[in-house]
Amino acid sequence: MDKNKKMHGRGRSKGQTAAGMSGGSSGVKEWKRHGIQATWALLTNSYLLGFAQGKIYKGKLKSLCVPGLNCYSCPGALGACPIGAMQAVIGSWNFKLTFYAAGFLMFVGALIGRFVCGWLCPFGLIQDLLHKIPFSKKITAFRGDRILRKLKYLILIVFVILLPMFLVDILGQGAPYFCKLICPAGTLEGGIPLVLLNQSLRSALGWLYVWKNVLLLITIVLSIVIYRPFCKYICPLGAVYSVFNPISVFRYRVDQEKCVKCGACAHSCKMQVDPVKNPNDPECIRCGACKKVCPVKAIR
Amino acid sequence: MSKHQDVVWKEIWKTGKGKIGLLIAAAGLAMMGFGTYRGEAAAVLEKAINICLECIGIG
Repeated sequence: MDKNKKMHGRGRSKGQTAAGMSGGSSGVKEWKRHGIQATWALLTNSYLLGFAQGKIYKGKLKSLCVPGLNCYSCPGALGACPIGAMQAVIGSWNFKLTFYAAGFLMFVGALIGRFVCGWLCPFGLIQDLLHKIPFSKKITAFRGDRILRKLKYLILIVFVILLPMFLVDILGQGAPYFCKLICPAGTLEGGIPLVLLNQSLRSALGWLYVWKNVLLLITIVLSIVIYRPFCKYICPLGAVYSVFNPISVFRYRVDQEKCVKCGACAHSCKMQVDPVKNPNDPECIRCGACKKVCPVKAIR
Repeated sequence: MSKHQDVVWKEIWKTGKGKIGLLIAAAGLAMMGFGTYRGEAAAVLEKAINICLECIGIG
């Protein structure tokens, strides 16, 4: 106990009080993570000819999934979005179960869980950067937040699995309903650049394009006010990876002997997770903010 | 393998959850292999190399 008090005191003497960190990981240098996110986004979207000509990459690499939410209709995309791939297989007339996309998600999820959300998702990076825009009334928590976070599981089950499986046309093909009706990443990464660059696509615009742009606009505005609203409440990919967070091979561990219960980690977490209570909470995106602020390095 | 990496892997292996994670990852790989064998990767490729009109808000 004495040792804990001493450690606690030492932590605070460095100016890392819990109160001083309320409202997110201010002071925590996140630019190294953003650099890795940006590098990964550029690597997986490096088909520059697509941006120049308003076309998409058509090589065989496209059969491979990337771990993050990355629309395969982005002009630069070299790989396939796992959620898009899942709907493509479930909605095809000759398959109704997908071993390939589900196996990929299991493989990645079991190894690193939602580390993907924090480090390897281009749409996560966009939301991270949007949240850096100054705004006087940033919202960190609100009534109903916890329940609203379950919405992403419902979206996964209904829009990614059930609707493409059962709401089919005369040939037995289901549309990718999540991509079609919800996904703002597809609009931002694919819809806007392709429509800007491609005359024939511009002539085909309709209510759906307007709807998706409205959703994108709402996502952008909300991302300024709330940290990663799409990841918290909507993203079916985050929902899948969150299931694997507690059992993934690479996960956080809290050394309870070292921990001084100062609360700095919980206050630094923009996903509102308390690592001391549950270091592998399904909502943890493994951004590493808690590790950085821990005064006694109890989180590994 | 460095000493640190060695320690990390030993820690992963000695915990039950670490073993479960590795087993699920292996099962995921096997499922990917099976999916590829039955033609799912080709279905993904076919979808991904054509502009997905639904995804971009046109179809």
